[in-house]
Amino acid sequence: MEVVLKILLVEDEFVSRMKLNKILSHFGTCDLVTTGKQLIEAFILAHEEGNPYGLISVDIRLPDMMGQEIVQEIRKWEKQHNVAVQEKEARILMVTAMSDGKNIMSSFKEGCEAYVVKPFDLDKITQALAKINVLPQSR
Amino acid sequence: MNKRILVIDDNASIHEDFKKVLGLPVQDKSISEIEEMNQDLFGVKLARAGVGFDLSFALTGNRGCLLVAEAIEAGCPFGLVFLDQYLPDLDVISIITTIWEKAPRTEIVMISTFAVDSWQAPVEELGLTSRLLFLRKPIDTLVLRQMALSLLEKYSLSEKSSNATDQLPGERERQLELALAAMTTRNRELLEINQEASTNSSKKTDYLMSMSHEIRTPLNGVLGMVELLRETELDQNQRHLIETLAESGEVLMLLLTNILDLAKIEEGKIELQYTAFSLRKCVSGVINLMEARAIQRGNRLVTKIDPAVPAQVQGDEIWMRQVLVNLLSNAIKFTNKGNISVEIEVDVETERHVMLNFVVLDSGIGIDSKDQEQLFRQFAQVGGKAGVIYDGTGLGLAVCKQLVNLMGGEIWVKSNPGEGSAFHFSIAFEIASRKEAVNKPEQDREEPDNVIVPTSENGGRVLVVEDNPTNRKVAGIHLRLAGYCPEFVTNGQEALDWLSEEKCDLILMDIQMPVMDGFEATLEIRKFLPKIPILAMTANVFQSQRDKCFAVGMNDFQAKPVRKQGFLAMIEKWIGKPDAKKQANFKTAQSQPKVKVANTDEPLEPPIYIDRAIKDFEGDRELVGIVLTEFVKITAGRIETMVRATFDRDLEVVANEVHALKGGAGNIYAERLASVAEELEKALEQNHLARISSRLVSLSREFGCLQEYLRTCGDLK
Repeated sequence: MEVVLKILLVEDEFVSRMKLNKILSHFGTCDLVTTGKQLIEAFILAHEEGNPYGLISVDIRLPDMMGQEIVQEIRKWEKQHNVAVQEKEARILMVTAMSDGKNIMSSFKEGCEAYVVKPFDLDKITQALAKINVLPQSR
Repeated sequence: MNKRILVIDDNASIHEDFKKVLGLPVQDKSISEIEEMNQDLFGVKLARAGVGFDLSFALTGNRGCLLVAEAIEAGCPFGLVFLDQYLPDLDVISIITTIWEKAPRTEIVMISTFAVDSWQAPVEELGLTSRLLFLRKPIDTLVLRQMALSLLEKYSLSEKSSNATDQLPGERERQLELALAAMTTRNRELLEINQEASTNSSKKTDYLMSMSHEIRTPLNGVLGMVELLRETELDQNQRHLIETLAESGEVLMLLLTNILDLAKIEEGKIELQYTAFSLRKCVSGVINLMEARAIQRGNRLVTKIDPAVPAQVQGDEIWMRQVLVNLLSNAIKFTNKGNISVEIEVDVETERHVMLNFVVLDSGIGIDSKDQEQLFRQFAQVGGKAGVIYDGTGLGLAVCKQLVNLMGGEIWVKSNPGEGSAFHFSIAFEIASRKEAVNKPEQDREEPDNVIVPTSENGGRVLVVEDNPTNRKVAGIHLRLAGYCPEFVTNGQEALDWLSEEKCDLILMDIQMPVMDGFEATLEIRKFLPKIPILAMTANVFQSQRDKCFAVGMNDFQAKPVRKQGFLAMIEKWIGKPDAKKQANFKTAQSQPKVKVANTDEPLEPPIYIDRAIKDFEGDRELVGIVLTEFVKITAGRIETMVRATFDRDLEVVANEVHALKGGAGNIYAERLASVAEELEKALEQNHLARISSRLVSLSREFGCLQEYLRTCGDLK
């Protein structure tokens, strides 16, 4: 039996959230949050319940946190809890409207693995996720 | 009420009498008191008298004084003391003094048996007092009783009022505290009101500044067009109309500048930027600017500069210039067929500083002495006929005064009606250099070393990079009329694209443009075209802006509004007059422009590409419908929030909202809305309030279009 990928996505803007939900649904089941704080809480809760998210999609600019900060927080938490050893590290997709390299570079530095520049579509996201071995699931 | 009475008398029987008259009342009330007292005098039948006073007795003065002291200590002092005039131990004066020392309000009745004159001594000794009475034996019981009642009442009242007075400081403190608290509250309120007022004032200034700025842009277009119209064939009447139009436009421009300046000064937003500059150049620049207008009115414009005036002084050239422009334009306005002069002379000079006197002199209508005081105030202009004939707001002189004061100087006027006016101002400057020779390196710097001989290999082809269509048109017509061959793009990015495939001799570069501004574009162009002359065109005339232009690699600087003469002279300086032959070749070559040139007649793209959105949502039309409805609702809220936040100058909120809006709009392919949002984002990055406001208006308009479009297409259900 194929294990369904658990996806957590944060996006404060409504249309993007709906669209991202629609697109990412091809890859797994999505939980949606709208702020960085909610994302961190959901991320920790999932770990505590023993069923962590496999993919986290992060908007680079949120009202409360920058995407880079979120990635930093996630990786810090994983390190503190030895998540790497269990090989349950989340894969992180950065969604950004800024095409400037600086933000993306600093996201990579913090441990993000893939990014997609807005406006995105299924093709773009599929390509980005293929690079980190997240593939569409047949349902 | 105090009921304590002390009787000091060496005769013990007197004590008994007092007891009977003033002591506790007898229970049997069959005999009325008054009858009883009327019947009996001292010693005989006083059995049932007494009104309930608390009596104490002393046989000697010492004993009496002791009892007084004890009573005070016990907290129940005697209100009244009956004192026999002759006591064995102490004399009556010393007893009274002692009692009053201890209890100054004690009522004392001196009782004597002998002649009246014996009372004289104590009265003289004790001075004027209201607390001493005299009673002669034998004593009438009623008199005694009434006296006791009356005096104790008096004592009690006096005690009460004194207590009240003693308590008063405490009471006052309380009241003071209350008043203080009220005052503090009021102060806080006032402070808030004051802050609000100053915020409002600051908002007003911002509004004024952005308004003036927004008005100036189209006005520049109007003035440019007028100048072009002048070049066409006109009859006498049309020419006159055009001249009037031009003059009114110039006046309006100056007025706007003054409003803007005054608002800036009032808000303390003007910063003086001190650089070394030449006053001679500054003055001649102003004269050049004003000459045409002076000549139109038949005036002669001359300058007289004292040779001792240093070549360069440290000062703010821009504002110095503004003062001179305002004074000169006033002089020209009020003078017909006369003389106007600008004079500068040295007043005092030290090793490092020089105090200069400036005079702008005219032979115009002059100003009445009673009007002279009003002159430098805002919105004041000399009334009467002058006000009718010479319209204006009089803001110019207010600006002059503020600016001169800001530069640490004084401004005043000497004038007589019909004899012209002399506006004086004096400012102290630090001397930058005394000799004119030191100026030369600066002049050299202005002349570029790489282009000495103007060349136009491409037939005088000029690329105009400018986002404002009116400015494009004005520049284009000037260039074409002069024989150059203009090409147009609307921003830096388009310029780069164009230059990657085309060639030109010179680039006219606007600074503030969407997508890519003039600075960035110049930096990019310099990477592959190091020598092509790039001339900046900008409405921002600040030195910092100029410096930046040169810093990014521009060669020259043309202030907007573009004026034909200076504009063409500058181009000629760089690439010479256009070569007719080469130009002809190019005209055929460039008939088909390869790069898309901004064209306002081009059909607009739709507010939203719904098909693409549906495709993105994998054909789920219903979901797109829901998303769009929600998007419209959210966006309306965002715009409202942004408008409010802009007003409150909370630009961070605006930035967050517009960012989210841009993302959303992009995602549903509302491209126009997304691109206006992007422009607003840029304006926010530049912190350019006027532009932010205008972009916000565009955004709102674009959103209206989208809503309208969605209403009419409505095929999502």
